[in-house]
Amino acid sequence: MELNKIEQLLELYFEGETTLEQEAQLQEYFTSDKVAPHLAEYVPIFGAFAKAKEEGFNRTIVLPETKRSWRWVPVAASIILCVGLFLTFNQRQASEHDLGTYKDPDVAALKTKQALFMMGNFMNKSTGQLDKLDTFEETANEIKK
Amino acid sequence: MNQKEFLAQVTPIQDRLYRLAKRLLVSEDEAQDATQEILIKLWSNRMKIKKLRSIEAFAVTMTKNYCYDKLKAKSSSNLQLVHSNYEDQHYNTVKTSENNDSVNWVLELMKELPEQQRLILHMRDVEQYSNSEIAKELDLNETAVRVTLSRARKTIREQLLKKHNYGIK
Repeated sequence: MELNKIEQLLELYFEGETTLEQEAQLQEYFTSDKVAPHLAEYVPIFGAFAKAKEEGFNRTIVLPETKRSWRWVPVAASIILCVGLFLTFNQRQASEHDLGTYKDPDVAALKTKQALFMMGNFMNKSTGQLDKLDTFEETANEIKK
Repeated sequence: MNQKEFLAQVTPIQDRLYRLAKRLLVSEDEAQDATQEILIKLWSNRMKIKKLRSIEAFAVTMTKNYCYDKLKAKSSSNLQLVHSNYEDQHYNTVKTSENNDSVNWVLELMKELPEQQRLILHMRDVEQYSNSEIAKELDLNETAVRVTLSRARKTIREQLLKKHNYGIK
Protein backbone atom coordinates (compact mmCIF):
# COMPACT_ATOMS: atom_id res chain seq x y z
CA MET A 1 0.00 0.00 0.00
CA GLU A 2 1.15 3.54 -0.62
CA LEU A 3 3.03 5.10 2.18
CA ASN A 4 1.01 8.28 1.85
CA LYS A 5 -2.21 6.48 2.48
CA ILE A 6 -0.83 4.68 5.51
CA GLU A 7 0.34 7.95 7.00
CA GLN A 8 -3.08 9.44 6.44
CA LEU A 9 -4.84 6.48 7.97
CA LEU A 10 -2.50 6.59 10.93
CA GLU A 11 -3.40 10.22 11.50
CA LEU A 12 -7.09 9.39 11.40
CA TYR A 13 -6.50 6.37 13.61
CA PHE A 14 -5.25 8.45 16.49
CA GLU A 15 -8.23 10.76 16.15
CA GLY A 16 -10.53 7.74 16.40
CA GLU A 17 -11.88 8.47 12.91
CA THR A 18 -10.90 5.29 11.11
CA THR A 19 -13.40 2.61 10.20
CA LEU A 20 -12.93 -1.01 11.21
CA GLU A 21 -11.86 -1.83 7.64
CA GLN A 22 -9.22 0.89 7.63
CA GLU A 23 -7.96 -0.32 10.98
CA ALA A 24 -7.68 -3.81 9.53
CA GLN A 25 -5.54 -2.33 6.73
CA LEU A 26 -3.28 -0.63 9.26
CA GLN A 27 -3.07 -3.83 11.26
CA GLU A 28 -2.07 -5.74 8.17
CA TYR A 29 0.56 -3.19 7.18
CA PHE A 30 2.17 -2.93 10.58
CA THR A 31 2.34 -6.66 11.19
CA SER A 32 3.97 -7.24 7.81
CA ASP A 33 7.73 -6.92 7.53
CA LYS A 34 7.67 -4.11 5.02
CA VAL A 35 7.14 -1.21 7.39
CA ALA A 36 8.85 2.03 6.43
CA PRO A 37 11.65 2.88 8.90
CA HIS A 38 10.13 6.17 10.03
CA LEU A 39 6.90 4.38 10.96
CA ALA A 40 8.62 1.55 12.82
CA GLU A 41 7.75 3.06 16.16
CA TYR A 42 4.09 2.20 15.61
CA VAL A 43 4.76 -1.46 15.01
CA PRO A 44 4.60 -2.44 18.69
CA ILE A 45 1.12 -0.94 19.08
CA PHE A 46 -0.38 -3.14 16.40
CA GLY A 47 1.83 -6.01 17.45
CA ALA A 48 0.37 -5.73 20.93
CA PHE A 49 -3.20 -5.91 19.65
CA ALA A 50 -2.36 -8.93 17.53
CA LYS A 51 -0.73 -10.60 20.49
CA ALA A 52 -3.64 -9.79 22.81
CA LYS A 53 -5.97 -11.36 20.27
CA GLU A 54 -4.21 -14.69 20.51
CA GLU A 55 -4.85 -15.20 24.18
CA GLY A 56 -7.57 -17.59 25.12
CA PHE A 57 -9.38 -19.33 27.89
CA ASN A 58 -7.62 -22.63 28.42
CA ARG A 59 -9.35 -24.08 31.42
CA THR A 60 -11.78 -26.92 30.98
CA ILE A 61 -14.89 -26.18 32.91
CA VAL A 62 -17.04 -28.74 34.64
CA LEU A 63 -20.64 -27.83 34.28
CA PRO A 64 -22.64 -28.79 37.36
CA GLU A 65 -25.07 -31.63 36.79
CA THR A 66 -28.62 -30.55 36.37
CA LYS A 67 -30.58 -31.29 39.51
CA ARG A 68 -33.48 -33.62 38.96
CA SER A 69 -36.61 -31.61 38.99
CA TRP A 70 -39.14 -32.69 41.64
CA ARG A 71 -41.64 -30.14 40.47
CA TRP A 72 -43.98 -32.64 38.80
CA VAL A 73 -43.97 -35.20 41.58
CA PRO A 74 -46.81 -33.63 43.64
CA VAL A 75 -48.90 -33.27 40.50
CA ALA A 76 -48.44 -36.92 39.60
CA ALA A 77 -49.18 -37.96 43.18
CA SER A 78 -52.40 -36.00 43.31
CA ILE A 79 -53.55 -37.43 39.97
CA ILE A 80 -52.94 -40.96 41.23
CA LEU A 81 -54.80 -40.15 44.43
CA CYS A 82 -57.79 -38.77 42.50
CA VAL A 83 -57.97 -41.79 40.20
CA GLY A 84 -57.72 -44.12 43.18
CA LEU A 85 -60.51 -42.35 45.06
CA PHE A 86 -62.72 -42.31 42.00
CA LEU A 87 -62.28 -46.04 41.39
CA THR A 88 -62.98 -47.13 44.97
CA PHE A 89 -66.01 -44.83 45.24
CA ASN A 90 -67.38 -46.23 41.99
CA GLN A 91 -66.93 -49.76 43.19
CA ARG A 92 -68.74 -49.10 46.45
CA GLN A 93 -71.65 -47.54 44.59
CA ALA A 94 -71.84 -50.57 42.36
CA SER A 95 -72.01 -52.96 45.32
CA GLU A 96 -74.92 -50.99 46.81
CA HIS A 97 -76.94 -51.51 43.65
CA ASP A 98 -76.09 -55.20 43.39
CA LEU A 99 -78.96 -57.17 44.99
CA GLY A 100 -77.62 -60.56 43.97
CA THR A 101 -80.14 -61.01 41.15
CA TYR A 102 -79.41 -63.36 38.30
CA LYS A 103 -79.72 -62.16 34.79
CA ASP A 104 -80.26 -65.53 33.15
CA PRO A 105 -83.82 -66.77 34.00
CA ASP A 106 -82.80 -70.47 33.85
CA VAL A 107 -80.04 -69.96 36.36
CA ALA A 108 -82.43 -67.94 38.46
CA ALA A 109 -85.01 -70.72 38.42
CA LEU A 110 -82.38 -73.32 39.30
CA LYS A 111 -81.05 -71.27 42.16
CA THR A 112 -84.55 -70.64 43.47
CA LYS A 113 -85.33 -74.34 43.33
CA GLN A 114 -82.14 -75.10 45.20
CA ALA A 115 -83.01 -72.56 47.82
CA LEU A 116 -86.55 -73.90 48.20
CA PHE A 117 -85.29 -77.49 48.43
CA MET A 118 -82.91 -76.43 51.16
CA MET A 119 -85.79 -74.83 53.02
CA GLY A 120 -87.92 -77.96 52.50
CA ASN A 121 -85.20 -80.11 53.94
CA PHE A 122 -84.96 -77.99 57.02
CA MET A 123 -88.77 -78.05 57.37
CA ASN A 124 -88.85 -81.83 57.11
CA LYS A 125 -86.10 -82.20 59.64
CA SER A 126 -87.89 -79.99 62.14
CA THR A 127 -91.33 -81.51 61.56
CA GLY A 128 -89.69 -84.93 62.13
CA GLN A 129 -88.92 -83.79 65.62
CA LEU A 130 -92.62 -83.01 66.12
CA ASP A 131 -93.48 -86.78 65.76
CA LYS A 132 -91.92 -87.31 69.16
CA LEU A 133 -94.46 -84.85 70.56
CA ASP A 134 -97.27 -87.17 69.37
CA THR A 135 -95.91 -90.14 71.34
CA PHE A 136 -95.52 -87.85 74.31
CA GLU A 137 -99.19 -86.82 74.06
CA GLU A 138 -100.38 -90.42 73.69
CA THR A 139 -98.60 -91.57 76.86
CA ALA A 140 -99.82 -88.50 78.70
CA ASN A 141 -103.46 -89.30 77.71
CA GLU A 142 -103.11 -92.94 78.85
CA ILE A 143 -101.89 -91.76 82.26
CA LYS A 144 -104.78 -89.27 82.57
CA LYS A 145 -107.36 -92.03 81.98
CA MET B 1 -30.63 -27.00 26.10
CA ASN B 2 -28.28 -29.85 26.85
CA GLN B 3 -24.57 -29.62 27.64
CA LYS B 4 -23.47 -30.19 24.07
CA GLU B 5 -25.62 -27.44 22.60
CA PHE B 6 -24.57 -25.11 25.38
CA LEU B 7 -20.88 -25.69 24.74
CA ALA B 8 -21.37 -25.21 21.02
CA GLN B 9 -22.83 -21.77 21.71
CA VAL B 10 -20.34 -20.77 24.35
CA THR B 11 -17.03 -22.07 22.97
CA PRO B 12 -16.72 -19.41 20.24
CA ILE B 13 -17.08 -16.57 22.74
CA GLN B 14 -15.27 -17.84 25.80
CA ASP B 15 -11.88 -16.58 24.58
CA ARG B 16 -13.35 -13.13 24.11
CA LEU B 17 -14.80 -13.18 27.58
CA TYR B 18 -11.47 -14.25 28.98
CA ARG B 19 -9.59 -11.48 27.18
CA LEU B 20 -12.08 -8.91 28.37
CA ALA B 21 -11.79 -10.16 31.95
CA LYS B 22 -8.04 -10.11 31.73
CA ARG B 23 -8.00 -6.58 30.37
CA LEU B 24 -10.02 -5.40 33.34
CA LEU B 25 -8.66 -7.58 36.11
CA VAL B 26 -5.06 -7.68 34.77
CA SER B 27 -4.29 -10.97 36.52
CA GLU B 28 -4.44 -14.11 34.39
CA ASP B 29 -5.64 -16.29 37.25
CA GLU B 30 -8.40 -13.94 38.21
CA ALA B 31 -9.46 -13.65 34.59
CA GLN B 32 -9.64 -17.46 34.32
CA ASP B 33 -11.69 -17.60 37.50
CA ALA B 34 -13.99 -14.88 36.28
CA THR B 35 -14.53 -16.58 32.94
CA GLN B 36 -15.28 -19.88 34.60
CA GLU B 37 -17.73 -18.17 36.94
CA ILE B 38 -19.47 -16.47 34.02
CA LEU B 39 -19.74 -19.69 32.02
CA ILE B 40 -21.29 -21.51 34.95
CA LYS B 41 -23.69 -18.63 35.49
CA LEU B 42 -24.65 -18.82 31.82
CA TRP B 43 -25.16 -22.57 32.17
CA SER B 44 -27.51 -22.15 35.09
CA ASN B 45 -29.40 -19.46 33.18
CA ARG B 46 -29.55 -21.43 29.95
CA MET B 47 -33.34 -21.36 29.85
CA LYS B 48 -33.24 -17.56 29.66
CA ILE B 49 -30.37 -17.53 27.18
CA LYS B 50 -32.42 -19.48 24.69
CA LYS B 51 -34.72 -16.52 24.26
CA LEU B 52 -31.91 -14.00 23.68
CA ARG B 53 -31.01 -12.74 20.26
CA SER B 54 -27.30 -12.54 21.00
CA ILE B 55 -25.77 -14.61 23.72
CA GLU B 56 -22.50 -12.77 23.18
CA ALA B 57 -23.74 -9.30 24.10
CA PHE B 58 -25.39 -10.77 27.17
CA ALA B 59 -22.23 -12.61 28.21
CA VAL B 60 -20.04 -9.55 27.61
CA THR B 61 -22.27 -7.43 29.83
CA MET B 62 -22.21 -10.09 32.51
CA THR B 63 -18.42 -10.34 32.36
CA LYS B 64 -17.95 -6.59 32.47
CA ASN B 65 -20.23 -6.22 35.49
CA TYR B 66 -18.63 -9.15 37.23
CA CYS B 67 -15.15 -7.67 36.75
CA TYR B 68 -16.24 -4.25 37.97
CA ASP B 69 -17.66 -5.87 41.09
CA LYS B 70 -14.38 -7.69 41.63
CA LEU B 71 -12.39 -4.49 41.19
CA LYS B 72 -14.64 -2.64 43.57
CA ALA B 73 -14.27 -5.36 46.17
CA LYS B 74 -10.52 -5.30 45.73
CA SER B 75 -10.15 -1.54 46.04
CA SER B 76 -12.30 -1.45 49.15
CA SER B 77 -10.15 -3.98 50.95
CA ASN B 78 -6.81 -2.83 52.29
CA LEU B 79 -4.81 -5.48 50.57
CA GLN B 80 -3.43 -4.54 47.25
CA LEU B 81 -2.58 -7.37 44.97
CA VAL B 82 0.15 -6.92 42.45
CA HIS B 83 0.27 -9.34 39.62
CA SER B 84 3.09 -9.80 37.26
CA ASN B 85 2.76 -12.33 34.54
CA TYR B 86 6.12 -13.60 33.57
CA GLU B 87 6.25 -15.25 30.24
CA ASP B 88 8.67 -17.55 28.63
CA GLN B 89 9.74 -16.21 25.32
CA HIS B 90 12.04 -17.38 22.66
CA TYR B 91 14.21 -14.72 21.26
CA ASN B 92 15.41 -15.63 17.84
CA THR B 93 17.13 -12.48 16.83
CA VAL B 94 17.97 -9.22 18.44
CA LYS B 95 15.36 -7.49 16.32
CA THR B 96 12.45 -9.68 17.36
CA SER B 97 13.56 -9.47 20.93
CA GLU B 98 13.49 -5.71 20.71
CA ASN B 99 10.07 -5.83 19.08
CA ASN B 100 8.75 -8.26 21.60
CA ASP B 101 9.94 -6.03 24.37
CA SER B 102 8.14 -3.08 22.87
CA VAL B 103 5.02 -5.15 22.30
CA ASN B 104 5.01 -6.18 25.95
CA TRP B 105 5.66 -2.61 26.86
CA VAL B 106 2.53 -1.55 24.97
CA LEU B 107 0.56 -4.22 26.81
CA GLU B 108 1.90 -2.84 30.07
CA LEU B 109 0.93 0.67 29.01
CA MET B 110 -2.60 -0.54 28.36
CA LYS B 111 -2.81 -1.66 31.98
CA GLU B 112 -2.01 1.87 33.08
CA LEU B 113 -4.93 3.39 31.21
CA PRO B 114 -8.08 4.39 33.11
CA GLU B 115 -10.63 1.57 33.15
CA GLN B 116 -13.01 3.13 30.64
CA GLN B 117 -10.26 3.88 28.13
CA ARG B 118 -8.75 0.45 28.60
CA LEU B 119 -12.08 -1.23 28.03
CA ILE B 120 -12.94 0.78 24.92
CA LEU B 121 -9.48 0.37 23.40
CA HIS B 122 -9.70 -3.35 24.03
CA MET B 123 -13.15 -3.75 22.56
CA ARG B 124 -12.27 -1.77 19.50
CA ASP B 125 -8.67 -2.67 18.69
CA VAL B 126 -8.48 -6.20 20.01
CA GLU B 127 -12.03 -7.48 19.55
CA GLN B 128 -13.05 -5.25 16.64
CA TYR B 129 -16.42 -4.23 17.98
CA SER B 130 -17.98 -1.30 16.17
CA ASN B 131 -18.37 2.00 17.98
CA SER B 132 -22.13 1.61 18.09
CA GLU B 133 -21.80 -1.82 19.71
CA ILE B 134 -19.41 -0.40 22.29
CA ALA B 135 -21.70 2.57 22.90
CA LYS B 136 -24.63 0.26 23.50
CA GLU B 137 -22.63 -2.02 25.76
CA LEU B 138 -21.27 0.80 27.92
CA ASP B 139 -24.34 2.98 27.78
CA LEU B 140 -22.52 5.90 26.16
CA ASN B 141 -23.08 7.82 22.97
CA GLU B 142 -20.91 7.13 19.96
CA THR B 143 -19.10 10.46 20.12
CA ALA B 144 -18.00 9.73 23.67
CA VAL B 145 -16.71 6.34 22.54
CA ARG B 146 -14.75 7.91 19.71
CA VAL B 147 -13.23 10.59 21.93
CA THR B 148 -12.25 8.09 24.61
CA LEU B 149 -10.78 5.79 21.99
CA SER B 150 -8.72 8.59 20.50
CA ARG B 151 -7.50 9.60 23.95
CA ALA B 152 -6.48 6.04 24.78
CA ARG B 153 -4.61 5.57 21.50
CA LYS B 154 -2.80 8.89 21.87
CA THR B 155 -1.77 8.08 25.43
CA ILE B 156 -0.31 4.78 24.31
CA ARG B 157 1.58 6.53 21.53
CA GLU B 158 2.95 9.23 23.78
CA GLN B 159 4.10 6.80 26.44
CA LEU B 160 5.67 4.56 23.84
CA LEU B 161 7.57 7.43 22.24
CA LYS B 162 8.72 8.60 25.63
CA LYS B 163 10.17 5.17 26.27
CA HIS B 164 11.74 4.98 22.82
CA ASN B 165 13.45 8.30 23.19
CA TYR B 166 14.57 7.67 26.72
CA GLY B 167 18.22 8.58 26.99
CA ILE B 168 18.28 10.13 23.56
CA LYS B 169 16.58 13.42 24.27
